[in-house]
Amino acid sequence: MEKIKGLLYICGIFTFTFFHNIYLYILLIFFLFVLSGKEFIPIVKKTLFSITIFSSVVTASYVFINGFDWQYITLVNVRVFGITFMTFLFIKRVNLFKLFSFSENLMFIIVLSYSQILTFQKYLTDFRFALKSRTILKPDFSDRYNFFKRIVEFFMKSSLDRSKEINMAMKSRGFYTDE
Amino acid sequence: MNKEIISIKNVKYSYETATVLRDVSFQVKKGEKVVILGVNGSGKSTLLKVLNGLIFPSEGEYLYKGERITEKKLKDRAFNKKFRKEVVLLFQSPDSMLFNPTVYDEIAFGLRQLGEDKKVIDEKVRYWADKMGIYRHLDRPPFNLSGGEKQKVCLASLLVLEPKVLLLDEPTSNLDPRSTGWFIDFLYELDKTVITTTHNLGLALEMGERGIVLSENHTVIYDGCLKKFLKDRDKLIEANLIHIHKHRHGKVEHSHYHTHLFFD
Repeated sequence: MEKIKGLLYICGIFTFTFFHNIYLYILLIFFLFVLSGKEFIPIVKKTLFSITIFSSVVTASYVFINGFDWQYITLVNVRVFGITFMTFLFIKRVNLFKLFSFSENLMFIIVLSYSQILTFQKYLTDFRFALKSRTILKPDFSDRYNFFKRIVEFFMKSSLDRSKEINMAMKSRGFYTDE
Repeated sequence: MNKEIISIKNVKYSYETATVLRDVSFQVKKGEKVVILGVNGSGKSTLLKVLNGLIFPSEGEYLYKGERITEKKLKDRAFNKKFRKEVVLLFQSPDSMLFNPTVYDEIAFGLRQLGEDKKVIDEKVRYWADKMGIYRHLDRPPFNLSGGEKQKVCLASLLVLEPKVLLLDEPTSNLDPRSTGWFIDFLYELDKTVITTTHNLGLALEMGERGIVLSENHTVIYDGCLKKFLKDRDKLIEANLIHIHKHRHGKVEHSHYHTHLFFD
């Protein structure tokens, strides 16, 4: 079943990427909305949150270079929304461990990535809570800047340290050898 | 000493997939030093976040000095300012609390938010940096310090606000033995209401006289004298805080529950 879902997801990506018809996109997005059921609102919120900055930058750059072509801008933004919504729905509904169970190596990578995501998610929540806990008044611009900078630095350094550690652990367990 | 400062009544808290606090009730008096014990995942950290007004119970209520703490209540600026100044939380990982460019700025952060005078801020920052033994690091970024030093910066950043309640989430988990010793002595001398979480039975008695124990089922299974709890084998087993240990005496091997605790 998971493999069928995986195949449908690839078909969805193919449709959003190779066809340039906004009505087809809207039909597909409506179908995805129906599939999402009770999770519709949380996934829509997550999707909008994820694409807002990206879509704004892409739209603004396009308008700046090519002028205002509303048809093309709408097409691109609906496409981005559709792919992102479909991906979040896919992650919610599909057990990735089962999907990639056919390959041991892929499974290792999925497990490692998943554990990284969970660890970083916990750190991010703690950062957010710590700022909230220490904030008496609304933080000013420089505090927000320092906080954001620190998070970026922390995750960059942690990613690097953890990937070195994981690399050594994988080597130690015979996942690969230096040749 | 006898005035009730914190009251938790039938609190339940659930994350998306699991309930982590179930029907939790207790009161804490001003000046008390309480230790919350429980295995990993029993809900200790979540309970501290509730007490710090970062998350809110889905059932039951939390009263601080008789005022019910809700999301709406903390939107009241004057109350939020008072609450955030009086109830502070030391996070398990000091890294999540540090984001200012220097140790000085980190300690001064809260005071600046309160709009204190520059001279007062300077005096207080230097006083707490000196008391914590981190004065020489004042101009350094806090991120490059050792685990124990980071913990001291975090503590100074909280204590500089002169809080009434100090919530400590596994405060010794990142400390080496020397820093742990320093921390225990520091806690002993601290004249404040302190609620500390730990699963370290060996240190629990050094952190307070009263114990509140959370089970793996996320309910309170003990609330009372900590020393008495640590001698109660059945309760320790119920909380999953002791384990069966194998021993060898010459050729004879036997196993029994172990606490690694020593009483006078």
